[in-house]
Amino acid sequence: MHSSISQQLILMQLSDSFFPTGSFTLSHGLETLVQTRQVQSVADVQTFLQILLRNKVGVTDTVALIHAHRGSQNKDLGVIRHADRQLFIQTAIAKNRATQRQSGRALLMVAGETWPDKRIEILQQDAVQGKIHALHPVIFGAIAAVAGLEERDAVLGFLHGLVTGILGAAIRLSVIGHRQAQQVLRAIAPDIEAAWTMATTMPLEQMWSCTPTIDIAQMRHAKLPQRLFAN
Amino acid sequence: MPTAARLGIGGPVGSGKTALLEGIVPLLIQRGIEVAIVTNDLLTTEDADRLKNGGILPSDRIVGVETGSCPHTAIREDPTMNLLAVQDLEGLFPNLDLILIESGGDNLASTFSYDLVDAYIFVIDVGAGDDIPRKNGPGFVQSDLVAINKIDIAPYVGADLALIRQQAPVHRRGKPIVYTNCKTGEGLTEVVDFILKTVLFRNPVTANV
Repeated sequence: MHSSISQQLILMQLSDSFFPTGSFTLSHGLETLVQTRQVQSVADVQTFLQILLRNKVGVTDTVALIHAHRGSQNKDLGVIRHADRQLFIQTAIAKNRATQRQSGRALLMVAGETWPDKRIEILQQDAVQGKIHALHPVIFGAIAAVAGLEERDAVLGFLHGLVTGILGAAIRLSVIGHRQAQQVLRAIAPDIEAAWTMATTMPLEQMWSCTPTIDIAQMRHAKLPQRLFAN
Repeated sequence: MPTAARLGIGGPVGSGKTALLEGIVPLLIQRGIEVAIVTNDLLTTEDADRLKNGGILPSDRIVGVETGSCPHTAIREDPTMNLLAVQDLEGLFPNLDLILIESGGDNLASTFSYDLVDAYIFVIDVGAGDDIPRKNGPGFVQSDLVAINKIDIAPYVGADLALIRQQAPVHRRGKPIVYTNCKTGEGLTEVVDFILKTVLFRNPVTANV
């Protein structure tokens, strides 16, 4: 049984960019939007994050994460595999599926040694054999449960990691400064909370997303003549 | 599943990391070594494209990994994306003996994690100045081999090669150094010997070349 302090430390460990899953290589479409001057200011970055949370990550990735967490907690790997499959279907952009898979495999690789557990072992074998896509939100949910995190903490840790990763990308893309990044992180706290509230009651079959500008930016990314990020 | 040996190649921008690869890969292939490459281009796919277009290896044996403008994070604090690229290459080519991982151009503090590589070479060039060895950069001091490249240009850039040859061993504290000119191939056999001995555990080839 984990103490509350132990859980808090695990939450910090899993949501910290120090935890190695390659998140520093991802911009989630922001690089394209900055290069094409659709995102030029701190306010634009904040809007980008809010749209991404409300219309995409909060209602797809987070939902799949929650179901995977529940499956992992109940030791029902079928639920995790189903969440992985549904999220794959819901993720229309091929590059996003590829990067989600890369991050998921990286997480499995590191977490498997950090929190040795039969469930992670089986998921690792599934990933190697191509039985699951091992998409990052699903793997994050499954591993958070193994590590002893409650569902809400798992979601908040995932969303915090995603948002800080994007803000870090925004700094490296020179569209925002380090102090402004902290202010944006604080300002979008209600959006993170809203994403959690929305996702917690959603069945997998009701996942949706509507972010056409971000989707197009993500699709165009691979064609950029110069790029720092993997997406 | 057997895994390939992994060798990192790091060093500052323009020091000759890609040129070193272009020089040593054909020599390794001549010795029957099955090779693949992971590149970490900083901003473009130029290095990966250059290697592919150069034809030193089939293009499916050269994989590029984007590093979000954090070249040393990708080889040290969080090498997971490079590790996945290595795993994918091993899955595609089960007979690989050696995977070379070329870091994006970085600074003298750039070092590889030994969770990613078995050994690494740090490449500097004399054009950066004859004071580089005495700066005691972690990459220069800690790497398993230092290649001091472009030795031919020393007289033209005001670099004192004799001073480099005198000071580099002091700061390397007994660790190996090779002096290379990748354009002519000078010193490359020594690099190949180092690779054979250090990460492939085979006999050096100098004697029978």
